[in-house]
Amino acid sequence: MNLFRSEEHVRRWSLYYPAAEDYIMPVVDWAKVFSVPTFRNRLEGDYLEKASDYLEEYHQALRDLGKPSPYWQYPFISQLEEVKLSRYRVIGNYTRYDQAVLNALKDACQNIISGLEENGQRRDNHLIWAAPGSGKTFFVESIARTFDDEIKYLEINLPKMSQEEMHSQLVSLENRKNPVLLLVDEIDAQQETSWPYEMLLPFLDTIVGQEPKLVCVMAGSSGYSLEGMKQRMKARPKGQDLLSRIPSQNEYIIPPLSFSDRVLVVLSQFFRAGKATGREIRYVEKLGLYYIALSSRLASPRQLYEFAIRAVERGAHNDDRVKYDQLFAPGDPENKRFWLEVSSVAGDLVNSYVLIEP
Amino acid sequence: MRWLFPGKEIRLDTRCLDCGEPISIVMHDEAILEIDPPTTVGYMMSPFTKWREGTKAFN
Repeated sequence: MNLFRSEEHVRRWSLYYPAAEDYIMPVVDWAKVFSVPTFRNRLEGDYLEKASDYLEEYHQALRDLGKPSPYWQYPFISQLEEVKLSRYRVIGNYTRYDQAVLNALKDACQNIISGLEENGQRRDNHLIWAAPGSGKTFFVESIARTFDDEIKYLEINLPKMSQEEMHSQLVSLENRKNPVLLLVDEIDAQQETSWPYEMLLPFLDTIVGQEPKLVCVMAGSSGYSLEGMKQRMKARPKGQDLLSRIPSQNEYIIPPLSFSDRVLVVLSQFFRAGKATGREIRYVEKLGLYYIALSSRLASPRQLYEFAIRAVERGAHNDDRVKYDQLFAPGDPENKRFWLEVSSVAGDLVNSYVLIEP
Repeated sequence: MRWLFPGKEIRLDTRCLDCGEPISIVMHDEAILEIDPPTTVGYMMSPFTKWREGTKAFN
């Protein structure tokens, strides 16, 4: 057990492992978990004989606290038979499992889209705080894709852009022929420079009421929360002024991906990868799903997509399944390592498949 | 700690692994009697398949 002064301290610890985030709990809750027989009875003579029974009580204690860590969720995958992607679709290919998150993000989409469709004098500037790896860029791109060629999508990534480049990009928008969805990504970056906000401020004032419409979405991931990020922005020159150009109802949070979200993203990316490579992928072996959902190396939807493409390419063209072995290049020791780690408890995930429904 | 000292009051003084600032906990079985700072959290990152080994760095 590792102790930290707060949850924020855990998350900035160099050894923090996001896939195990469910194992951050107040000490009071840990005390409840450690009071189950698994721990309380360790000095009893028959402890080893009863260890398996005790283990289930430990699982239950964690479930009672609403903390089903990814490591404990192989039953979730074991019981998963069919996933209808459209049920979890926020927009385009961006999916979320939790219904509260799903609907909050759908509302955000509608608010952003209405700014592109409706005329008026209102400020259509938006601010998104997104947990790292939650796919904020993919989320905004997905909104733009729903319009096909009717609008132009432009992304300005502050850390990667010089003052001259950003000036040139903003000037290029003055003579736009179509509505524009502009994403200013990492709006909380370049903390030490003043020119990004100085350049954005007059631009945000100019676009109010202009035709064709220009909707500006600013997004970042720092500060551990929306409020934390706003505090960092406020502390910068012109930061307070910039925030005053964003109506409070246009602020959104994209929470971190839960284990269930990762499972959804994986299935969705296999489906997309199949389409991109001319295969119809309908089944994914559960052991493979479990591996990917736990893998910290595959943190973002983009990484998952690249991984899915390679796995799909390893399969036969007329096979609608993705097997566990196809996730790995021939001879990759990772294949065997993971199997040895989980085989004693997750053997039923082999040769068992989840059906993907579009 | 809980199972090593049943029925005893235990005081635990340690430091935050992130910042090195002190953390103090007083407990009696599963009851937490005092905790400073009150925002203190515990974190465990062992894969479930290894939790029974019990001797690894992060258990």
